[in-house]
Amino acid sequence: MRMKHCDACQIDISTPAQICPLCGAPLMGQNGKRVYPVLGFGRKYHLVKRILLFWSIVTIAVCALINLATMPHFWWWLIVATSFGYAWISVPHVLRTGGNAGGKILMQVVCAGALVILLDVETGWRGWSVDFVLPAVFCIGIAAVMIVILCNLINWAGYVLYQVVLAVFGFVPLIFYWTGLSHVFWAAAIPAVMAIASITALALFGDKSIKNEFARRLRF
Amino acid sequence: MKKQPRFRRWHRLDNTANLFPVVASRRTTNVFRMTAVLRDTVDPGLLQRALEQTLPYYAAFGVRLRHGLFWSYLEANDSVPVVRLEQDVPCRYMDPLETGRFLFRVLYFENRVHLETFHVLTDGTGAMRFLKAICYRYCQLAYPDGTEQEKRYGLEQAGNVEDCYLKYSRPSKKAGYKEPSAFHIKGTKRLAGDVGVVSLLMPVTDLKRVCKESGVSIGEYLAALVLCSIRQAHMPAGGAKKPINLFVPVNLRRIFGGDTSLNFFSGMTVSQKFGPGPANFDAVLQDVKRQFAEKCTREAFEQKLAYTAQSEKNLFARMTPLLLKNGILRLIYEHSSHGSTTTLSNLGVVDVDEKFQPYFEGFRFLLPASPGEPLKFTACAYGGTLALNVTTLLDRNPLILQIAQHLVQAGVPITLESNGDEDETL
Repeated sequence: MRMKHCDACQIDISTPAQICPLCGAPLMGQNGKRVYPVLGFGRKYHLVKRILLFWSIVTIAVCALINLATMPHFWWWLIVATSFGYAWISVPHVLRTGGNAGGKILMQVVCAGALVILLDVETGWRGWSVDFVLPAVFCIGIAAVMIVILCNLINWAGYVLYQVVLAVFGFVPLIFYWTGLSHVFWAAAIPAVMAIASITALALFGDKSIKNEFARRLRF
Repeated sequence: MKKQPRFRRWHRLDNTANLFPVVASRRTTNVFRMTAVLRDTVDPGLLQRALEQTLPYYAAFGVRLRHGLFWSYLEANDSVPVVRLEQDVPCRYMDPLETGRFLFRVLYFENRVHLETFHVLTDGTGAMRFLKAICYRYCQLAYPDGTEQEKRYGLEQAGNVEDCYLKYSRPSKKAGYKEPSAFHIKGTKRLAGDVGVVSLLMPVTDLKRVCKESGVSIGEYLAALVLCSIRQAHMPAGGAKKPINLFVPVNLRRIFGGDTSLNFFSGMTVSQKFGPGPANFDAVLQDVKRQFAEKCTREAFEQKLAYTAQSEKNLFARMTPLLLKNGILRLIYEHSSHGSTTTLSNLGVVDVDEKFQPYFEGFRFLLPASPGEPLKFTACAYGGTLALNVTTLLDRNPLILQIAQHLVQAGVPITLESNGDEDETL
């Protein structure tokens, strides 16, 4: 028996079909072989993630309602919202498969920095974030990248861009101190010293592959 | 012994490739598919071996995308790509985390081998070379004939990763080019993520005879046919103010001579305005022929090359950090990407090494349809059969019926293959 044929369109159909794919007329003849797969379930459905996201949004809304109903002069629901926002940005980024460890550290430093500054603002700006917490976050970031590098020296070149960016961050508290934004010199100086140590280690112990890495990362 | 850090081979993105990582998304994937239809069912184990033995020669494919401070670049990737059974729609978004950071995937289904390539790596010509090289190696492994098992085929330009855009562009004063806004095909969309695929298969001899009667090439004939069918199927009877702009990619290797494995293509826009009354196919055909002759010239492409190459060489563009540059590129793209109604990419005749011809039945070539261009057309020919392939995001496609009817009436017999369900029209 020959291939399926549509009398209305005068065409042959080589793939399985009960009706003509073009005009819809019923077909006679032998069904052909499939040449494309039957599609299964496409994308993964992250049920747990969706439930968590649902409850996060509901929690924020409930907090906002209680807050505005009971003590409208102090908006503490913003603190709740900020914390949830921080968690939803930083946790998925860390848990994502693949990705450079240096990049993940950098992202955590940026998120944590934004979180503490926002919390300080929302609780009436007393400067504790820029005085103490921000320098501490930068110190941890610089140290974390150095630990990652020590654990995986062969791949130092892969982390070098993040090492340099974090070292630049290390000088930010000093700039804050000089511009009068923060007021504790010793806290502002520690990350800068660590940044200098990090860059010096790079200059003295780094090998040729790092120079090569710089050449491609900074090519303009 | 102390382990030595290794030097990693890397190359820059070619001049057009800079755009693709910026605009690629799950909806506009910029991933195209080349399919080799083999004689026998594919053995996945052998296909895997063939891929592993071919990839090291292809500098353009064994890479991952990385980002510097000013430009992205492609760095040698040490992982091993895995061939997979085809389970999804064609031309799906290339998620590097799924593919071991590679920007291509090799799939198989029954007697078909698919190579899906993210456009950053290369264009149709480069991808077809890689697919053929994999299939040649596969045939050597699957059908050992005792002769020259070590000889490798299809590796001639494998290591060539020069940027021919920059090489062949000459400075020119002419400012940017912009196509006028075009008519867009509208219709009910399929469910998100679903893509319809149809191939109309026809004998090249019959089509050639029809083309000869009108004195045009196959490419020109198909272009006119697509234009007129859109007019009939999707425009209001009274015509439309905006013209139908058909984007036709052009392989610049044939025009400039450079032979890289990276992207080296450009394109021309064949434009046609339709007023009230049915379209006069012969008049459109002659006008398309005139436009081909006018636009597909070395001078026309030199000017396009000059514009894009200059924007990469521009000192201001070079000193702008990647993040900012991508933002600007995205804006320019969004602003200028309404210029075409659809795309017709004609790959021409695929030539297969004589030794392997008995193992191949044909080739298919699919472009990713996108929200802006919900239907896209390609053509490729092998062994006396031309495949006109259509990918569509729309639920109803009277356009394909128009095309098939026109060809049948002109005396070209059509065989149709599709990915649709048995009891559904396209």
